[in-house]
Amino acid sequence: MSDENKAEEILTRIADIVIKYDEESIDAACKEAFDAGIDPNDVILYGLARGMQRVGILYDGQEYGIPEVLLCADVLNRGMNILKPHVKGSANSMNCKIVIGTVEGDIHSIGKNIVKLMLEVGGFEVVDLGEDVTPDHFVTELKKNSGDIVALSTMMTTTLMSMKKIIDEVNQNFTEILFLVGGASVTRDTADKLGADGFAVNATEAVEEAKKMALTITREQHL
Amino acid sequence: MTIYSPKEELLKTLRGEKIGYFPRCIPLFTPVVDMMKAKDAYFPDANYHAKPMARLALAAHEMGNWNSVMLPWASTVEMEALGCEVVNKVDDIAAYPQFKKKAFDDAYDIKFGKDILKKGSFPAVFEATKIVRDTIEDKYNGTIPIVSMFQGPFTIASYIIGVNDMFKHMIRDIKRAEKALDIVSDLNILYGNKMLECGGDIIVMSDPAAEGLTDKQFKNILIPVYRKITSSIKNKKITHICGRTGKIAQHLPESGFDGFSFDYPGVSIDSLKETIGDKIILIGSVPTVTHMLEGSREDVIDISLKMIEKGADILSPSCGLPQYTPIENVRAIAEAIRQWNSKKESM
Repeated sequence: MSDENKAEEILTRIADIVIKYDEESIDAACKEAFDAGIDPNDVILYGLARGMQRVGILYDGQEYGIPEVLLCADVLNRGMNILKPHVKGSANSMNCKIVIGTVEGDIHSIGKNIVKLMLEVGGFEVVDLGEDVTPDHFVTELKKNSGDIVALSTMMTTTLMSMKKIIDEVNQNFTEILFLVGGASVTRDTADKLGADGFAVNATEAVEEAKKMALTITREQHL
Repeated sequence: MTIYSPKEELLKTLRGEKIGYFPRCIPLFTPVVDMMKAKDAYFPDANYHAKPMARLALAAHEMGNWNSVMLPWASTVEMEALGCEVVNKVDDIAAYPQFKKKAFDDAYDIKFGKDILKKGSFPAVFEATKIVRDTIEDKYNGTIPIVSMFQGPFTIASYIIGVNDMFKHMIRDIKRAEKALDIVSDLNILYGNKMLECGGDIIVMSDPAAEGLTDKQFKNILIPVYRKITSSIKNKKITHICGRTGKIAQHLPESGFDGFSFDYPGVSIDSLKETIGDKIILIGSVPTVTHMLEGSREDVIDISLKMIEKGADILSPSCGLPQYTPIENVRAIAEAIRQWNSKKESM
């Protein structure tokens, strides 16, 4: 087997380990990839993240439920923890910082955590403020540590107003922050009405959308 | 044509009897701010005290023309009584009580005493139900049905021991999951029957977290628990699960529930009609955000008429109403039913 084929075989296997939430096999597989000289960044992108994208597809097709997704994310996380220290250069390859949180009044964390994980895998620096996050908390964090994108999630219809409050309050304090929104109760139409710059229905789309948004930030700064 | 009372319409429809026109009751209700103002009954008070809770519940009928009344609305009633930390914002008249912290570390730790129904806001719910029952008796000759709502076992179990743990147990430790569901369903039965004793006519069990399960997990682990609950409650029963329920819904006819309140567009009425439409009463589904909150009165009427046309047996919002839903949109569902029935009558 050529080195390239061997690398491909290991990466496919790592993706499968994520898909099958086979927690016991991930350490050895990551070590094997490492020993075979595969760039840790490639292992993250073409092994772990590729697996998790497939998990997203299985979830969308209702073949997987939240229990499977959580176990897959655990495997992904474990793999990330092994690989991260070996990633060369900056892990923040998108050169973009996202401050993420579930809005005030809503404590649902599962979707937001998966989005956070996938954004990190996608090369973003992500600060997670957790759940039930107030407008004040976002403003304070941005003032203290800055950020480019605020990513907001809400699952409930009864907390949509909190999303609006956060966007309004951040906009009152900053002029250049972009907003990426999602969650079960948010539609594209709602996102537009709230004044969001990006909207996504799942974690894979959230990464794509964030990448598009990151490009506009860089462009504006260079103009 | 015989015209029944809204209560008779609801009960007959849930029994599968045809009444000859579209039932006028709209069973799933959560209050909106216009009602809180008119009834001087604001959150958090109206979630914890019987009198404002009763006034606000009656607003569904008195202000929204819904021909039915539902209480309580907070999803935290059981969790709080079981020992979860729940907080309320004092400066927001429309904020629901908010879950903060789980009550137990492990499924095997879950327990509750004989005095459980005296804890948290349970007593207020019972007292409010009695006030509503008496008011309906006095003012409306007992014609308006009272819908008593409780949270389903999977949702409660998820919060009291931790959502992530409960979901993972469904694969890694099914015995633990079943243990949690068994204890919680004991409380469901106790609480549900007590609300009915205080004046409730039918039950709505809302189990939103169940949407996250696969078809197989739902069927094998949850349906037996639902059956335990439904076989221990005599009155008519509806279950509400939001979101994408296309796959799990196929098992609901075996759950013992008489009706399924579905969430459009998470699942379409066409597919539900096809899979389970002849086995369970379909209730719904006016989308709460795109139509109730953001749409016009006409949008709400249009989608309501469309739902009736496509075969919904009873109308309801797809989920909890956003609190700032305009009152004219709340009234528009009843208006759609009126239009439909008067059109049928003149035909």
